[in-house]
Amino acid sequence: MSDIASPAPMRRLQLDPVTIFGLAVLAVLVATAVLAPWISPYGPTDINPAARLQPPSGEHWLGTDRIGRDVLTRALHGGRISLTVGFLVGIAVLCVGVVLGLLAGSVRWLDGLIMRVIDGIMAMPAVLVGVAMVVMWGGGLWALLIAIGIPSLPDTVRLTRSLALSIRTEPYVEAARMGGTRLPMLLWRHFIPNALAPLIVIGTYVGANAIVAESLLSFLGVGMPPEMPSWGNMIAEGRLAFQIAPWGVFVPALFLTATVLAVNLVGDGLRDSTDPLRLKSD
Amino acid sequence: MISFLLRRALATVPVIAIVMLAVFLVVHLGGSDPARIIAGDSAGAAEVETLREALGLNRPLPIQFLDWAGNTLRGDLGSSLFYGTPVVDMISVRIGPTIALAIGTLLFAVVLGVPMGTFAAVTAGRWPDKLLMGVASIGFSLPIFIVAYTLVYWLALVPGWFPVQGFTPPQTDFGQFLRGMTLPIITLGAFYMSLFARVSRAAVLDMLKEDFVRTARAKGATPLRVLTAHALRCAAVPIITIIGSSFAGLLGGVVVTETLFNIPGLGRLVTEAILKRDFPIIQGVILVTALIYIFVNMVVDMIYALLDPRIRQ
Amino acid sequence: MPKRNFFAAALAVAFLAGTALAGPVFAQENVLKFVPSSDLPTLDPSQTTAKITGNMGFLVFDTLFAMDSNLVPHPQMVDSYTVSDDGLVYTFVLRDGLAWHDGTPVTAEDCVASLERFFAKDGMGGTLKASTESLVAVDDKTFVLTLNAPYGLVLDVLAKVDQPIPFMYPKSLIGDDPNIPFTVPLGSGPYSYNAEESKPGIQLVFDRNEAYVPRSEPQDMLSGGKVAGTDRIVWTFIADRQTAANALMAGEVDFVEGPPADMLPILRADNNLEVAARDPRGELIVLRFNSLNPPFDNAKARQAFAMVVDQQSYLQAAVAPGEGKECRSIYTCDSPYSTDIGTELIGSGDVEAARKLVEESGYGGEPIVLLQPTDLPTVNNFALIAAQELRSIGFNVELAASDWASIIQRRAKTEPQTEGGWNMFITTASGGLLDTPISNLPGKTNCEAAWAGWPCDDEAEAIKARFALTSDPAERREIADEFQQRVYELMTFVPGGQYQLFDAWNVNVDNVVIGAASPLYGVTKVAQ
Repeated sequence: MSDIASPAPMRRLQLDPVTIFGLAVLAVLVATAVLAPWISPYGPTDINPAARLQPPSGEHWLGTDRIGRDVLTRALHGGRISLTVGFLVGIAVLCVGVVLGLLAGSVRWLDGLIMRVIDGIMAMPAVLVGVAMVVMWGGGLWALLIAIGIPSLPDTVRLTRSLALSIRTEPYVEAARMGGTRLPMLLWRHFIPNALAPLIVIGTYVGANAIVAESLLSFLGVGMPPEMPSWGNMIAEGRLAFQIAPWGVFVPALFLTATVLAVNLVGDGLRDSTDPLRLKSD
Repeated sequence: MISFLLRRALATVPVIAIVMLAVFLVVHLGGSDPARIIAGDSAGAAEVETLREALGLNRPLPIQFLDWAGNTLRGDLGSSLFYGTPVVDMISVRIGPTIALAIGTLLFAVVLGVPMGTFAAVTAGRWPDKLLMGVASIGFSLPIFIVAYTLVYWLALVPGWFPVQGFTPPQTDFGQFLRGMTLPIITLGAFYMSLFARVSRAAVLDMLKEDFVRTARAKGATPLRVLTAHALRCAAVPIITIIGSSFAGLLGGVVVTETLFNIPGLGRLVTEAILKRDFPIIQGVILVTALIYIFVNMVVDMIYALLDPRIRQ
Repeated sequence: MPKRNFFAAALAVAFLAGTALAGPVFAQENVLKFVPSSDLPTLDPSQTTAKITGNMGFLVFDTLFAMDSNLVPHPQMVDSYTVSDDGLVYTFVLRDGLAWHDGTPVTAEDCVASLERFFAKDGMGGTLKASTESLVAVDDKTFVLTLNAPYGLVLDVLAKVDQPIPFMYPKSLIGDDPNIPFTVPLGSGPYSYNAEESKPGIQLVFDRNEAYVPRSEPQDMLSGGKVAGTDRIVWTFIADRQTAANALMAGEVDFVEGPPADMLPILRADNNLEVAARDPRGELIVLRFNSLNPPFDNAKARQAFAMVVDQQSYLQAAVAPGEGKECRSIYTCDSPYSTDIGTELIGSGDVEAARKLVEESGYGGEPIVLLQPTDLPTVNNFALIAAQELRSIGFNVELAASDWASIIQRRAKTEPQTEGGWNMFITTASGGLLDTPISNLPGKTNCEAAWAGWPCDDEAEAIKARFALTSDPAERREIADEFQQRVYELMTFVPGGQYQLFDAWNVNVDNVVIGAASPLYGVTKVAQ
């Protein structure tokens, strides 16, 4: 597929300095997350109740939390979780969304059903349903990822569907159909090159959104298992001692802000340097 | 025209049905047991079982769903398992603060965000544009807790300019109502302001490129006149669309702000109900929020149709 | 832009409709603004063991007998009572002037119905019921309790300070089925429940009951005259504890129950605030095993963990340095039966011996499930410490994190951990659930009827039965020692230390009761 999937927009990709800055920040975050065990002498879950809520010092550069864990260590490890959540949810939403969108755009009787379900998803308050799903279904990583992913589906499905519908009516596509080429093949050949750039842009926003959603759900006490050092968990725990140990909140929040900002900047840059009208038309 | 309105209204029926089924399944499929939570920490199995029976929770699920759906169609959302109060009454008490917060946030975000975006578009590429969009990008990415904690500490707790928590109904004391809502609105509004600024900038930029705007310029209209009379008017449609869908999103998105500022709204009601497994409240609030979204979007579509005959086909 | 105007108008209408229900404000009234530690699971005290519903009950309801600060029962609603020489027949006469909040008089019929409801719902009430021959109203003010065997604790049970408390309800309120909760508390206590202004989950409003006739004796904890200290008490529920503490510091509320432990240094430093523990009995950290399933069905595995429990770690995670104390008694320390008997193993710190015990218990390395509540920050930390200690002696620990309500549900499952069950959970228990062999919850060993964990031991149950039969203090003391010895041989749980739960209030609030029960009705507030 590689010859088809490297479409024209990518070749004339010209990134402005802001986008490059965003990419650089992301690269640093990924690097520190991957290298976290070698950067810090502490483990992310090593507790030490005797050394709780210590301010930043030579021993603990960014202080300790309510049970004596090293805040910097946890923040670095948190990057692994948040970036993984963002990446996984982004990819999963794109895959599921494209499949649903193509089905809706090519199978007439499924179209109505899928689009009504998408309308239903849009109508349901995402945070509240997310909290309900995670709690009622006994928590766990998968319930969380599903709860974060489902509300992000509509954009991808709608974009895919409208592209599929417009490709169907292109004269050369209709001609090829008359000639006996099957629709899925046609979509594969013509849809992917057209849709790749806007889908990647949507994917970056979905990923950024997933990272924020994870922190919101963790803040409400229903996010990642609390032993995992996600930034949302750190903020949720840190707020209990916010006024005597603000580093417990500000450090993970800084990492979170930097990540979301960087992903959004990269998304904006990609959008502006590919075809802006295509995304906005939907 | 009337047939369009009817078709549009009828189109909401399957969506509502899907939402009802989804809400019910989310709540019931997990196998949660509210009876055990009501009975308390040291209750025995027998006490829990009798309570379960008294609450009607041991009936088959399809029966419970049909029962709930039937009552809902008659406007009865059931009663809270914990409080015994009708859910409709609880929602009517809680919806006011949530809507006040949502409207206040939208006003704040529109009044600041749309001019920001417009000004950025007019100065596109120059330093005001970069500055404003930089601010918007940060506002878009800041976690809501940080905004809230910072505001509470530096504007409420230390100087005492604003209350740190609570909600005063406007008809009780309007001044106190405004003071109490200021910090929650800024907390929640920072994100939406950034969102509207970005959308407005993009919309106005697009319009400034259009032929009729160039024509007006060529004819000698002042830049301000071009902006207000032509560009802004056309850019209004995407801006209003995003405002409309933001309002619906806000109804479900206020929960963290309500928790941080102790505002007795719908978001807090439902998260607390979730932690206690108070099924009727969870179902009722999520359903009502979804209905408001569906209704608002229907009305928006109808207004567009009234204004633009092309949409009616 | 007409569209925006439309939105604004439509929403403004909805908004006004929504808030029109709020009531008027009485600025002149002396109002105590109280923030309880959590929402109430139910407004019917007979339906729950939750202490917070009991605290509400002290305002609205009254009891036949009431404990003073030394836990001696005194008549409260009862005017006089007699006991027959054989100790089997108790005759109670109600005092004059008792009336429900709707104005109707309190009758002996009401009291009999209330006691029957209590017998059906409470463990101690159940043991009293088992000794009861009959309970009948003789006339409007007199009722007679006839026992079939001597029972030493009749008055103590009627004056119980821990939930479920035998409050008196009007017969018309409670109906015949003890399992159906009422939703509007209507009692005869010093405050009446204001149903119009109370909003579930937001606030509860209690107004001074002008018709209440207090006893003439001075208040001593729950006994003596119940004199309403303010015109009105408003309970405001603030879910975020940090926000609640902020509200107290900003003077927006008067009294916060259980502010976050990490905030205590800041609250103490505030000259406008007072910080104290209302219940000095304190909370015992209870590390509870599931004695039904492997590996903790083997006493050796339980004892091994007890050896490596470091109470200091738990205390450091719960409270500021120096606040908590180590305590190894099942009855909580400072309570009458507190003792060190049988506690040698707990916290001995011998890791090697503990590892050996684990081996002997036949534990084969399968994952064990430790329940971790995410919405209780202190217990959440306890779980992390316990996990580390378990791992240090070779257990393969899986932390199952969820909200507390989920834990209560999961805890009820007797299946092995691989089928949705569990092996260990942690909670805290206050004096009333611990302080005697009868009330001691984690010491119950009556198999499936016992508290979650279901230990099974006839010997311990037999010791407990002897305790109920005697009223001789020395003999009780001896039996209590024997009971603790047996419980720690079984090691049905391990104590993780004892600490106090603090409350904080504004200095303009006065007459706060410090004791096993801390009713709010006598609390006064200097108007500002």
